Amino acid sequence: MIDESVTDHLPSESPELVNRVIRGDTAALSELFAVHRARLWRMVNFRMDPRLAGRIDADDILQEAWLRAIDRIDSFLVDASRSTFIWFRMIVTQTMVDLHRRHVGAQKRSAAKEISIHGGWSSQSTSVSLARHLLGHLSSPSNAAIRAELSSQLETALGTMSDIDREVLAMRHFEELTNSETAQVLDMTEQAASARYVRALSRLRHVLTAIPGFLDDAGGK
Amino acid sequence: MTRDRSDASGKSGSEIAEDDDRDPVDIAADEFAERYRHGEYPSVTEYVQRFPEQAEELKELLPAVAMMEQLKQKEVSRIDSFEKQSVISGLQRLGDFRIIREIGHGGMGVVYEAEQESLGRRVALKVLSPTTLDSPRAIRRFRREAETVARLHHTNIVPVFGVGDEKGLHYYVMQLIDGEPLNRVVKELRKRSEGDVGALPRSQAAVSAGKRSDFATGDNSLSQRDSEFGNSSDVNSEGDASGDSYQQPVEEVTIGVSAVAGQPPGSDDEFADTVRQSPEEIARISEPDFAATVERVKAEIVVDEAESGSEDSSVNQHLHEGLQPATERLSALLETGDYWNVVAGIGIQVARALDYAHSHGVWHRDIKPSNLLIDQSGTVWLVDFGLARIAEDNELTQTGDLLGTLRYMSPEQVVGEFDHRSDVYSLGLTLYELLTFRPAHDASIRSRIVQQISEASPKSPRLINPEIPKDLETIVLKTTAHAAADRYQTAIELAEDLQRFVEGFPIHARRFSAAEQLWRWSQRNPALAWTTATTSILLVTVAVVSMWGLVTARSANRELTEERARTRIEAERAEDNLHLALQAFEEIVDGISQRGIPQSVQSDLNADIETEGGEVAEPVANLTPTVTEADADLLERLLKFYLDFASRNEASPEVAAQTAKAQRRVGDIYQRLGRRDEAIAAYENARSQYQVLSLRELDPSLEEILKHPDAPATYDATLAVAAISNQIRDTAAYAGDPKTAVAAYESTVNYLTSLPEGVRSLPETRFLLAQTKTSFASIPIRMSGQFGGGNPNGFGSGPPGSRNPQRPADDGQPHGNRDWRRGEDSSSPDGARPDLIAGSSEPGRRPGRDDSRDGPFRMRPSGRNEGGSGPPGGGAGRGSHHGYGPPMEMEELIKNSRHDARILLEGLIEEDNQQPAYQLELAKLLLASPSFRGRGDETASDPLADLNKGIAILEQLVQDHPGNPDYRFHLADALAWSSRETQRYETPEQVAKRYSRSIQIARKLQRQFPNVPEYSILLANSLRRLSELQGGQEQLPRSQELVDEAVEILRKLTEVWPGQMVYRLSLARALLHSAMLEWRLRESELYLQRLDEAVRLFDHVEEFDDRPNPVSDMLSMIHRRRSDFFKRKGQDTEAAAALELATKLTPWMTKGPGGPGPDDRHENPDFGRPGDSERYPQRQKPQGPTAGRPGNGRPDRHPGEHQSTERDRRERDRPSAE
Repeated sequence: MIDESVTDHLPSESPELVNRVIRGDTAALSELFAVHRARLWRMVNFRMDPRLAGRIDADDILQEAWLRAIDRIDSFLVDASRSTFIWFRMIVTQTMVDLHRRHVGAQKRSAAKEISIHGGWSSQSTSVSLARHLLGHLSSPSNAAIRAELSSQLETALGTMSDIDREVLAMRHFEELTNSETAQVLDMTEQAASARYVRALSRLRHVLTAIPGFLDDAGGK
Repeated sequence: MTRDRSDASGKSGSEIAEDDDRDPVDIAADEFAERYRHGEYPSVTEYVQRFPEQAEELKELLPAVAMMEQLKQKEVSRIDSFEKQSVISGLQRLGDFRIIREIGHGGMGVVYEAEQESLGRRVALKVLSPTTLDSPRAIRRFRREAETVARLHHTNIVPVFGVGDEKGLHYYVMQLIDGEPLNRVVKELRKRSEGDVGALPRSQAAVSAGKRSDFATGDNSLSQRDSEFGNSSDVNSEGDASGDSYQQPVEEVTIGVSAVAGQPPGSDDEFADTVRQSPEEIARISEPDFAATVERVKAEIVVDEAESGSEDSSVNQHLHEGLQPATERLSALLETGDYWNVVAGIGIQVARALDYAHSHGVWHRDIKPSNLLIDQSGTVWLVDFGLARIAEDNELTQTGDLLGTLRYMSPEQVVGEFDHRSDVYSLGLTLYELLTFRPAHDASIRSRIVQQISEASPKSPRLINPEIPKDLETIVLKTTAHAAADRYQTAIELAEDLQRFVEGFPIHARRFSAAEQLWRWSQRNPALAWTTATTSILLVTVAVVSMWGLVTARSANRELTEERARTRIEAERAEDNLHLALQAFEEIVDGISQRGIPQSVQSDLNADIETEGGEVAEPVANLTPTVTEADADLLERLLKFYLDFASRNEASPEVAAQTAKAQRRVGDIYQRLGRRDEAIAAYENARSQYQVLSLRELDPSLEEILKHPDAPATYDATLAVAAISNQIRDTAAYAGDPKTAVAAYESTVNYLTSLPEGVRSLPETRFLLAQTKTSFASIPIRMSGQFGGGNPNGFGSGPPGSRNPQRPADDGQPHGNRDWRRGEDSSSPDGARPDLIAGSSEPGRRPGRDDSRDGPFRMRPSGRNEGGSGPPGGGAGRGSHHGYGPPMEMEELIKNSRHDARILLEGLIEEDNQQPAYQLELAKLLLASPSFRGRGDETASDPLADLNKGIAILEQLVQDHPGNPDYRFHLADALAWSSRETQRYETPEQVAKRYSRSIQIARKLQRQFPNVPEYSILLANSLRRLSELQGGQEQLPRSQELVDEAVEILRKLTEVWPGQMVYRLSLARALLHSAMLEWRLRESELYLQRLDEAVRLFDHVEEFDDRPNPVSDMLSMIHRRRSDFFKRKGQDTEAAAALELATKLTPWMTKGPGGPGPDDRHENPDFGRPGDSERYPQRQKPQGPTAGRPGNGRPDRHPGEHQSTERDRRERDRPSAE
């Protein structure tokens, strides 16, 4: 799999397709969902609580989200007016939150809290997800050895970044949102989103540099 | 497409417009990321050139982008490759290779034995799991590495034939080696050495004059010792004059199955020849046109280490499943002492191979026992050269076999650096393990291993086994020095030093002086800037002390001042390291606390006091601090440190937890120093600090709390609160403060049981509760009498007012618990002797802490009183023992707590029967319980049931964990200890059998760990007891043998631990018995010599307590014996002098020449067990009730003395004055 560019091969989001959806054509909705599926999958994968691994997988969540999307097809016109992807993303997010709650319990991720902030996720959960994924980078046996030590350092370091910085990075890289989509989700101008992104990158870079053995291995090559 | 991916590929008009709003760095980064997502690896330099204006920023930021994108790819591909994972297992064929069987599997893949059909040869085929090579880059790297390794040709490196791929599976082909991985060898040897005393490595000195091992001798060709190493007919070293004696001609090394002398599995024989390979063939395969060869050959070898997760789960199976000749041979060498040379020889081979590889620019990167195979001829083979590197980028590999790998990593490797000296280090750890049979870094949790590696040098091997030659230890320690600069700088240097060792020349490595060691330690622990200057000095000093002992520390201290400035400059990660230092100190404190006295010994010694003294003396364990003077000194230093630390009162929760812990340690130290009031105060302090941190203080909705990131810490604090309450309880119990003890117990129980359900139901919580109850249930045994009054000496003592000035006036129950216990006991259904019932006390609990054994003998004083000469009013005690309030409540409480504990433990075991801690606790509980038999307890029907079950559990634990000396110790102790319990139900033969078993186990322990005093004292005690059992005339020589051995052991112990009163008492005891045997056998003058030796044991005691105490008691008894002896010899003056000494020593005893009260006890029905004389007919006329009167000229002797009380025995042993 690993097709990074699923969207390249799939029918893109043609106005015609969107119109069919607006008319209530669920087959069209299905097609449209497929257009965005790869990135939605990525989002789920990024955000999913590791405790859920093994119990449900990303496909389950997308499946359920898809059903919910059909339920809401009537509100598509209004809610998806700016971006159909963002609309799907919101539905997937809600689905995930619900599933988390069902499976993990309400404690860690309070649905109400999370939905309200930054397009769906609490700063804490983003931070945790980020740390988890960034640590995934440290995978050589030797690096893995210091992982445990780094993990808390990293989370602390990420904690020093602002919520928005973290969200921007998560969206741009792990969810692969475009700048304009990011701007939309975060409800800011594209210019601001872009500046934000560069700033966040720089912060991240800073944070990672402070942690020994992180970036040296990491990027450069 | 809704995305602005087109940024990367060509900009559309609208998007260009959009881009105007965007930061140019964003645009560049976006494109960069996009290309990554398409599988490219764009270079940062390219972007720096393309966007000169943003060059600096891009240089900075793009690596972070690359990192995130790489990371994501891995996530994605991982999921995909899981599907392929199952493909590898169960392979039947791969290209040219017909899979014969699986040899092993590890994190990187599966190793098969396979037949390469085109060449008709057998190979080892390592098929990498798809997850190992998860990117084109990884595959390229894998091929490159394999190619490099294939160019290595060395006797001790498993030849790699090549790599290939088939159906998307990548594999690696190696020569098939018939050998055992060293991890299995070590495991097997460890098992054997534990199971067989004879197999323990002996000192090199013992054999140095003799032959040297073939493994080791560089000069001796292997073939010259065919006879010793089995078939090595095709291993011929004649052609090896070139220098490296291990460099055998390739065609002869050929290994393969053919070389197997032993018992090749049937089918292997026919392949024997085909497996051989000519050097030409090897050359052809591995030389330049490697790629082409790969195409043709396509498969190869493998020999894998197969450590999956836990180290022990090695799945390596190389050809032989059952018998492993290499192991057999090594095992045999263990007995000759040549083993050390064998280990050195292994080191030489591997070091040379490493040196060769290093000189070719190849690092192994994963040296560990499982990557070293030893074959029939003693040749060691390195496998998996450089393979570790392939896995480095892969996330999956770290889950499985990393732990095995991690254990052998060098400190620098842990932080991601590596050079050839790291290989040397790992080899050092491997040698360490071969010497000690245990990993140098033996933690089982990853983070802890990392900590061990980065913070501590391995424990000196000779501390584990003193037989290890010192030079060899020095070499290994140098090889494993923390700083790479302190190690051998090349592998060949190591090989040469090992060679020197084998040949008996002085080695080059030298030991670090204490100062050097100190400096190294302080460099590794630059905690010191964070603490105050004084603390830091103390800190370092203490650390050194722990390593080198107080003496060396003093000289080190001087140098410290110089280093201090530097030390402080270094201090960057101060706090972290301080924690590590704290941890080190904790280990020190714990280590000291470990020393104690086995239950069975204590019970014996304590029994003495009571029976002789008529009053209950302070328990032995209390009288004699279980710390040596050096330890006490060390503890005092640590105490200062902790006090200082605890007073800092830092605000951060992390430090607060440390502070609470320090407070607790202060308590521990006070406790160990015998300063109990201060201990309790410190504990209470610690408890309240923990309470702040604990769950109780937080929001009551625990569900929330448990999910909180800090939950584990909070939970720890919660458990700590309870555990500290237990410590307070125990301390109070020692201090004779039952009220505090009971209160502490109840508060622990309340605390634990009132925790919210979610927390309460956690196994850890329930286990702690069970422990709390178990140990409480054992309390009365050690302090039963105290519940009446709060006076350590008040329990069970004589008549009111007689000898208890401290007894509180408001104590209206003169007889305390002695009476209630006695009442219970004497009403036991079978009319059993109460002392034997209640005498069990608790076998397994922390040695050195328990007084125990108070209860059982407590009624005897009244017996004595009844005998006549006792103090007035003594008899009154007998009738007045029923109905006292507190004891009965206590009894109820205890019974319930035992009941609860049992239910809790059984529940826990049902949930998790793999948890030895639960089993052990249950065993302790069961073994403690017989003291409650006969009280209408449900167990009364079968008094030995619990006892036997407890022992059975211990037996099982020992069987399941043969490597754990602790379980064996508990078992041996319980066997010895329970014999007192069982002897009324069993024949003397059966009882003797228990002692023999105890001796057998203890002896093994003692030989294995000669420096652990508990094992020695346990052994000596059991020996003496068994000796006392052998009462028949014809058994006397045997009896004497036994006691002589005990005396020997105890003499040594008292030499090594001059401050340990318990050891002196035990020795005195053994000497008394030995003296008695001398008398009975020969009427020899040795009798007096033994007694005099016993007297001298206490020469250093200057003042004697005039309250009952074991030392005065013992000494008094010795003098009485002496007096008897003199009298018999007609030396009346001496006799009188000795008697006067004796009476002076024990003012609490009834005076009267030759007729101390206790003698009259023989009249006491309590002691005249009916079955006694029938079962054990006395050799001579039983000593009458008139002990002290002129006897019949020879010491009277009950052959069955084990069955009687200690006191009886002593009286009988005494040669009566004539």
